[in-house]
Amino acid sequence: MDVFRDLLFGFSIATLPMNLLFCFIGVLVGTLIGVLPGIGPPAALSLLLPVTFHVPPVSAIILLAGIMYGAMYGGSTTSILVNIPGEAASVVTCLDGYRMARQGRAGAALGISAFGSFIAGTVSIFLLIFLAPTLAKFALRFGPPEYFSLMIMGLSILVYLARGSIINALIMVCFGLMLGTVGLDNMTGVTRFTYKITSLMDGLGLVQIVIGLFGVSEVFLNVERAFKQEVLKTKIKGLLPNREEWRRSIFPIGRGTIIGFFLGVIPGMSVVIPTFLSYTLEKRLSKHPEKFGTGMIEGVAGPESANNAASCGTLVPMLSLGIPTGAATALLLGALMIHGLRPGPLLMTESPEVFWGVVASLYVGNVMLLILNLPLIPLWVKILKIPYHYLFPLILLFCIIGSYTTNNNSYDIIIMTIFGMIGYLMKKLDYEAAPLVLALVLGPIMENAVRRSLVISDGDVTVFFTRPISAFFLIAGLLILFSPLFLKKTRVSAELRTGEE
Amino acid sequence: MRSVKICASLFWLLFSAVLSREAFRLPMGEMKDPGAGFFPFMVALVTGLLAVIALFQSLREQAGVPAPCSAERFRWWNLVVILAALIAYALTLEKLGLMINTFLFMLLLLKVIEPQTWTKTLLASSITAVFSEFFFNVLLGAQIPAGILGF
Repeated sequence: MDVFRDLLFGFSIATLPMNLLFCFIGVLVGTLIGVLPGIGPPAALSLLLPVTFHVPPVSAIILLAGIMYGAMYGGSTTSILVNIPGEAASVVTCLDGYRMARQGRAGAALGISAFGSFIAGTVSIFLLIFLAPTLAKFALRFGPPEYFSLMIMGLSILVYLARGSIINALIMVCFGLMLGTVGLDNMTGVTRFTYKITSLMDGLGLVQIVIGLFGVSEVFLNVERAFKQEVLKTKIKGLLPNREEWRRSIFPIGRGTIIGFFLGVIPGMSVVIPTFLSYTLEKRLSKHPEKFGTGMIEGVAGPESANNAASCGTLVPMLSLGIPTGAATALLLGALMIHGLRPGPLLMTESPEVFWGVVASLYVGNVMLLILNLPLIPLWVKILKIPYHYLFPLILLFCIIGSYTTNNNSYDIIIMTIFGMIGYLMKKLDYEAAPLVLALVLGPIMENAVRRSLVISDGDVTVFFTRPISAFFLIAGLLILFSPLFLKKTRVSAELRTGEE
Repeated sequence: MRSVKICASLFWLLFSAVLSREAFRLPMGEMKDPGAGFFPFMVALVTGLLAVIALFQSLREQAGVPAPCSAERFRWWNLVVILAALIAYALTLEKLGLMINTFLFMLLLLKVIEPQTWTKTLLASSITAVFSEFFFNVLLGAQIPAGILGF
C-alpha cells in the first residue's frame, strides 16, 4: 500500500541522527514547558522558532511538533503533583489526579497518564496517516470561496467555545484580523497602518504577539500578588499501574483517544475541549459518578489520552489544508512558511520528506516520551521546586531572546512588551487570547480568499453560498455562531467554565 | 465590573471609529476588484457593531454586588518595574550587548520584585549572563549584539 511505503520513507527521514536529536530536544523541551506553569506550548514554540532558522525545514518542524505533544505529557505532571495545570489541556486532570496523589497514588496517576498518552498518540498517528492524505485530495477541489468559508467555520467554533462572552470573543477575532492587515497589502503592495515605521512594513510579528500575550502577560499576572508555591511532600512510588488500574483505564483510554482525535481535527476545537468532554463522558458512563473528583483513575486516563490524541488530530487540517486549529498549530504553520514550504493540499506532493518525516517523528517522539517521562519525573519535581522569584526573570529573558532573534530587531522586544500588557489587560477583562491569535494567522489568508472570490465572481457575494462546499462550511459556521440566540450554551461550555473555576 | 465593561465597550467603539476612518483613506476598490482598504474597513465596521452590542449588554446588566477584594495587596509597582526593565533592555541591547544587559536585567528583577540577598542576586545574575551568551551566541549562533564587550 502506498501509505505504508510513504510511512517507511517517513521513518527513514525521522530516524536520521540529526532528526532524532531534534525530536529528542523537542519532546524534552515540550515536557519541561508542560511542567512549568505559566508558559504553554504557543509561547514555547515562539521562543524556539528563531532557533530553527539555521536547520533544515524537516528537522525544524520535527522539533516544534515535539514541543507541542511533549507539553501534553508534561502538563499532567504538575496537575497531578501540585494541583496546578502546566497548561490548559491538563486542567481537568487536577480533579482526580491530584486527589490520587494526596492518597499516595501519585505513581499510578502519573503512570497511567504516560501510558494513556502513549497509546492515544500511537493510535492517533495511524488515524492521521489515513485521514490527512484523503483530506488533502478532497481539498484540491477547494477554491478561494471554500477556503474563506472553512476559516469562518473554524473561527465560529473557537468563538462559540470561548470561556466568556461570545461578543468579547468576536471582538478578539476582529482585533486579530485587524492586526493581520498591518504592513504591505500582499495583493496590491499598498502599505497599511504602518505610519512610516519601517519595522511595521512586514507586518506585526506573530512570534512577538504570541510571546507577549501568553508568556509576558502570565508573568505580569503572577507578580501582581505575593508568590505562592506549593511544594510536593509525598514520595512518588510504583509508577506502573496494577492490573485492576489497567482494567479500569483501558476503555477510558480508548474513548479518550477517539474523542480527542476527531475533535482535534475540527478547526477551532483546540486540545482543551476534548479533555473536558472525555471527563464528562467517563463520569456519565461510570457506575460511581459521585466518586469522580475523589481520585478516580478513569478521570485521569480518559482526559490525558484525549489531550494527546487531540494534539495529533490538530495536525490533520494544518498539514493537509494549511489551516491551523489553534495558537500552537498557527505557529507550526508559520514555521512551515518561514522555511519556504507551502502548507496545504500540495505539501504532501511538493515536500513529502517534510510531511511523512514529521508524521513518522510523531511516533518516534511518543516512544521517546514514554521512555523519558517516567524516569525523569523526579527531575521535573525538582524543577517545580525552583522558587518563582528565580524562574520569572528567566522566563522573561527567554521571551526577550525569542522576540529579538526572529528579526534581530530591538523594536520587536517593545512590540512583545506592548502585547504583554495587552494580554494582561485581556485576562483581567475576560477577553480570550486564542481567537485573537487564530484570527491574526488566518487574517491574511482570509482577506486573500475573500478578495479573490469577489474577483472570480465579478463582485457577486452570493458566490459563497452558490458553491456547495463553501455553502456547507458557511452555513455550519453561522449556525454555530448564532445558535446561542436560540439555545442556551451547551454543556461543553458550562463544563469548561466549571472546570476552569 | 459593570462600569469596566462599559468602558471596554466604549474603547472598542472608539477603536472601530478610528480604524474605519484610517481604512477608508486606503484605496477601497470596487466589489469586483476590492482594494487594500476593503477588508480592514469591513472588519472595523463589524467591530463597531459588536462594540455597540457589548455596550447595550453592559448597560442592561444589573449593577451587582461588587466582587470581594482580595486579601492580598495588589503589587502594581512590580508591573511598572518589569515594564521599565523590558523597555530598557530593548533600548540598550545594541549598545550594552547581551551579557551586560542580561546581568543588569536579572539584578534589577531579583533585587526589586522579591528582594534576595546580594550574594544570591549577584551569583544568579552572573551565571545567567554568562550562560545566555554561551547558549544563544556561541552554541546557537543567534548573533545577539555583544555591545561594549565586543566579543
